[in-house]
Amino acid sequence: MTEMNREPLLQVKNLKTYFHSMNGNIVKAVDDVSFEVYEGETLGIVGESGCGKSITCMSLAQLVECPPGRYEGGEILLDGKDMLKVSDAELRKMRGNVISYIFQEPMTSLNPVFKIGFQIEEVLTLHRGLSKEEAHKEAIHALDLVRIPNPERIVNEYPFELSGGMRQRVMIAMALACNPKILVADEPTTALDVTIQAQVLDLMNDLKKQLNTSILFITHDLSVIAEMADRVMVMYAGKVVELADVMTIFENPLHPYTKGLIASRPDMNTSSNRLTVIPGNVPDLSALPEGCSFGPRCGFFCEKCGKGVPELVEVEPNHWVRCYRPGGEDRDN
Amino acid sequence: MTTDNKNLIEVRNLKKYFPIKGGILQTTVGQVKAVDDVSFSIKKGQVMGLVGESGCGKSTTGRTMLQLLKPTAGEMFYDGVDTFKLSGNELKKYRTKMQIVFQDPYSSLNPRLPIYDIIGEAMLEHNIVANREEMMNKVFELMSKCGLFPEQAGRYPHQFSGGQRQRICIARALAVDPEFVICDEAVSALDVSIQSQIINLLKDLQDDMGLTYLFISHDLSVVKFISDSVGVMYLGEIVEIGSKEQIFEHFAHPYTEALLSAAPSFDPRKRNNSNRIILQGDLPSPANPPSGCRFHTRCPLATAKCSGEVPAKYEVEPGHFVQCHFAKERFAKRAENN
Amino acid sequence: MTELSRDEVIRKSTKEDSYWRGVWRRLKQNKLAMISLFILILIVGACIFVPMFSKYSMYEVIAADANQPPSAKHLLGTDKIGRDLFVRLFYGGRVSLGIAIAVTVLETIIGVVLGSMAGFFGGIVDTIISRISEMFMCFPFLMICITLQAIFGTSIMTLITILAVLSWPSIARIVRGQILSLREMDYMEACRALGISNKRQIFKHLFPNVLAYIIVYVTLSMASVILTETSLSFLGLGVSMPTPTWGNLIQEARNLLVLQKKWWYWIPPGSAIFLTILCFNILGDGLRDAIDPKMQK
Repeated sequence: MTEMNREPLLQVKNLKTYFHSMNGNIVKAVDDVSFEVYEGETLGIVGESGCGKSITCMSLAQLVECPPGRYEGGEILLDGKDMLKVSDAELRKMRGNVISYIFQEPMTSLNPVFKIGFQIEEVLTLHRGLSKEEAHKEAIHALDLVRIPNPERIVNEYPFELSGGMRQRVMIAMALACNPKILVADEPTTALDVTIQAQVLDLMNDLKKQLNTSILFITHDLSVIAEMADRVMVMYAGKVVELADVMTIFENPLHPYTKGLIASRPDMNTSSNRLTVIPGNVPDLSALPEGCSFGPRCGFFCEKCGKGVPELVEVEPNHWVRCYRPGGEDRDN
Repeated sequence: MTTDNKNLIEVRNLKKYFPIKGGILQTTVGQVKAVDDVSFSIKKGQVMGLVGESGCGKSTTGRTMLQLLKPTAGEMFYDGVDTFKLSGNELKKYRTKMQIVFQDPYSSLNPRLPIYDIIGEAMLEHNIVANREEMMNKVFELMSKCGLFPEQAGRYPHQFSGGQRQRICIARALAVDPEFVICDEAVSALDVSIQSQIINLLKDLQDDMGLTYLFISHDLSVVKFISDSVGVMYLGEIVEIGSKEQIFEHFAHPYTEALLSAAPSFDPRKRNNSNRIILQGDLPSPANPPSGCRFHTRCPLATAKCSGEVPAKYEVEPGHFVQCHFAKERFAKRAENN
Repeated sequence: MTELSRDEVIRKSTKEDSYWRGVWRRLKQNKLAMISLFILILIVGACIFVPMFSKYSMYEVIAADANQPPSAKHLLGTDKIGRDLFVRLFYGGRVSLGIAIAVTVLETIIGVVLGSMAGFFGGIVDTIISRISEMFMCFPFLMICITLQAIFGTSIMTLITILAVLSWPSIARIVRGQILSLREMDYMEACRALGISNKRQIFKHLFPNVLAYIIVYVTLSMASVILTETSLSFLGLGVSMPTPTWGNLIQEARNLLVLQKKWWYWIPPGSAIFLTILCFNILGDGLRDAIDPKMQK
C-alpha cells in the first residue's frame, strides 16, 4: 500500500457540478465531493447509475457540457494547477498530457473514418510535437505496449475492423501515448466479455506498474473494484458516502449503502436461498428526499437522518463515512 | 420446490443458422451458425442456467425455442409435445405456456400503452379472462405479486425506473399463467442494488407458482446462485453441461475453467492470483468458426488433434457432458488430486 | 392514496398522463410553435370566412375600378381588369390550402398503406414496393407534370392526382423504416411470444408508434405542397385562370413594371405563402420535438 503522507497528485475539494434543466430544476449531479489521488495508486469510484461518478470524473478536465452543466464551486488541484481556473489553451494542453480518459464504449470513442495509426499519431504530433515519422514509430510502440499483436498491421486498419477488446486496447494506447500522470477509466470493461475483461484489467495493472500512472477507475461492478483498486470511494446520489482502502471497504464497510451493495451481490460462494436486498429504487436526483439521501432505503433510518444531511467524517484513520449511525450504532458527535 | 423426475423441456439437436446475403442478387453466400446442434433438458420446477460470452448463441437459443426465430433444424419438446411441429391455433395455445423476459427493460415495454394494457392484453387475447373488469382484477393481483403498487396500473412505462419496468415485464410474462419462463439476461441491465431484488422476485415466483426457468446470463455468480443445472456455450455449441456442482466444482472443459477464473473475485485478497487463466485472443467469428474443436484457437491445451478433429460429447460422470478431447484425462486427474 | 378506489385512481392517472397529453404539454411549452399554430388557424379561418362575407365576389369585374391601389373600397386594390384583390387573395388561399390538404391526405393514405405493407410483411412485398417507390423518386418531377397535364388537361383534380401520385414514396419510406425498427423492439417480440394476433400487433402496437411520425410528415408536407403548387401555377402549369391561387396571383405580377409600380399585386400573396410555409415548418419541427423528447437538444 502507498504511504499516505505524500503530496497528492490530484486533489479535489468540495467540487460541485450542477445541471440546470429547462424547467428550472437544479440537478446536483456532483455535490460537495472531495478526494485525493496519490502517485501510482488506483482510486476506484463505485456507485449505481446517476450517482455522479462519471460526472465527477468528467469535471476533472472540464468535459461536462456547459450548459446545461455548471461548475458551482470547489477546486480541482492537478499538478499544482486549479483545473477550474486555467485558461482554455492550458486546459487543452493538460488534457492528454497530464490527464487522459478512456470510456465505456470504445466504438464511439474512435473516429470510424480514420485509421487507427492516424488517430494515435494525431495525439502525438499535437501534444508532443513529434514529426510524422517519429509519431508513426511511436504509435506502433504504443500499440505494442498494450499487447496488440502485429502493431505494424493494425496501424493501417480502421476501427470497425477490430473487436471490442482490441478497440479498448487502442483507446488505452492513445490515452497513454503522452505519458499522462493520471488516467481516468470510466467503466472501461463494462461493454466487454468476461474473458476479454480479464485481459484488459490485467493489461491495465501491468501498465500501471510499468509507467507508474495513477488510475481513477470508475465502475458499477464491485468485483472489478476488488480486483483493481487500492482505495475505494463509494458514491450515492451525487455525494461521497464512504471512502477507505479496498480491504476496509470489503471487510469492514460502515455505511449502510456500502454494506448493502456488498451483501446483495451473489458471491460465487453464496449458499443461502435468498439474497440480501437494498429495498427501494435508485433515487431521482431532481427529487431527492430530505435529510440523508439514502434514508428511505436504509435499515438504520432514525429521526435524525430524516432531518439533516450527515457530514463525511473520518471514523477511523483513513476511513471516511457519511452517516449518522455508521455500522448501525449512533455516533457520539 | 417440486422436483419430480419429469423433463418439462427437452431440446434436441437445435440448430439456427442465419444466412449471409451478398452480391447484387442478394443470394446466400454463407451461414452464421449461431446455434449448432444444441441439446439439453430441464426438469419441471428447476432452473437451468445458460452461460457464455456475447455471440455464443445463448440468446438465439432462447428465442429459437419460443419460435421467435424460425428454427433451422431440431426438436423442442414441451411436456412431450414437439412445439416446432405445431402451427396456428395449436401453437398459440402453447405460447401461453412458455414466456420470455428480455434484458432491456426500456425497449421491452410499448411506451404508448398504460401498464394495465401491457400486462392485461394477452389475457384478453387468450380468453383467460372474460371481460375487462376481470382483467383489471388479475392485473392488480399480478402487480402486487411482482412488487408493484396496483394503484400505478394506469401509468405509462416512462414513469417507472428500470427495476420497476423489469417487474412489469415479469408480470406481463406471468399474465398467461406460463409454466416455463426464459429469462434472457433479465437482470444484466439493472443497477447492482436492483439486481438482487429481481433475482429474489424470480426465486419467490418460482417457489409460489412452480415455474421452470431457463436463465440466460453472462454473469457467472448470478447463474451459480439461481441455477440447478448449467450449460456453458461457446460459438454456438454447448461445450459443457451438468448440474451446478458439476460445472462449478468439477468442471472439465478448459473454456469453463477459463471463464470461471476470468470472473473477478469479490475478495480483494484474491487478486494477483497467479493461477488465473487469461485467454489469448478474441472470440472467432461464428460465420467462420475454427475447424475441429471450435475453442482450439484460444485453448491453452490445444494440440494438433484439436484443430483437425471435432471432439465428441463425453460423459465424465452421470449427467455431466464435456465436449473436449482431453475431458476424460483431465477429469480423472482432478479426481485423483482430490 | 388509499382513499380513492383503484378504478378511480386508474381513470385519473390515465387521463393525466396519456402519451398524447404529454405531446400536447410539450408542444405548449414551445412558444414559436404555438404562435405558428395560432397564425395558421387565423389564416385558415380568414380563407374560409373572408370570401363568404365580402361584398365582392372573386370573378366580379368592376371595370371602372381597374388597376387601383389599396383604398377603403378595395382593401388590397384591384387588378388590371378590376377584380378585387382582397377577396381573391383569400379565395386563392382556399384553393391553395385545399389542394395542399387533398394532396397530403391522398399521398399519406397511399404512402402509409404501401409503407406499412413493405415494413410489416418484408420479403418480396417489401422488395416490390421499395423498387416501385424508387422508380417514382427517379422521375424528373417538372417534366412528368408538364407531360401529364398536357395529356389530361389542367384541372384542379388532375393537379391533385399528379402531385399525390408523385410524392407518396417519401412517406412510404418513413413508415417502412419506422415499422422495420419497431419490429426489432423487444416489446414486439414479447407480443409474438404472448401470441398476440397480427391485427392487434398492427393497430395497438405499431400504428400508434408510427402515427406520431406521420403527423409530423403531414405538417411538413402541407408546406411543400403549397410551394410546389405555387411554382407550378407561377409557370402556368398549375391551376389556370381565372381561378385564383396564391401562385397564379403572383404570376399576374410577372413583369418588371408591375413589380416596381404595383406592389399590391404581389406582396400580399407572397407574404401569405411565406407566412404559411414558415408556420407549417415551425409547427412541424415543434411537433417532432414534442413527440420525441429525446431528439431535443
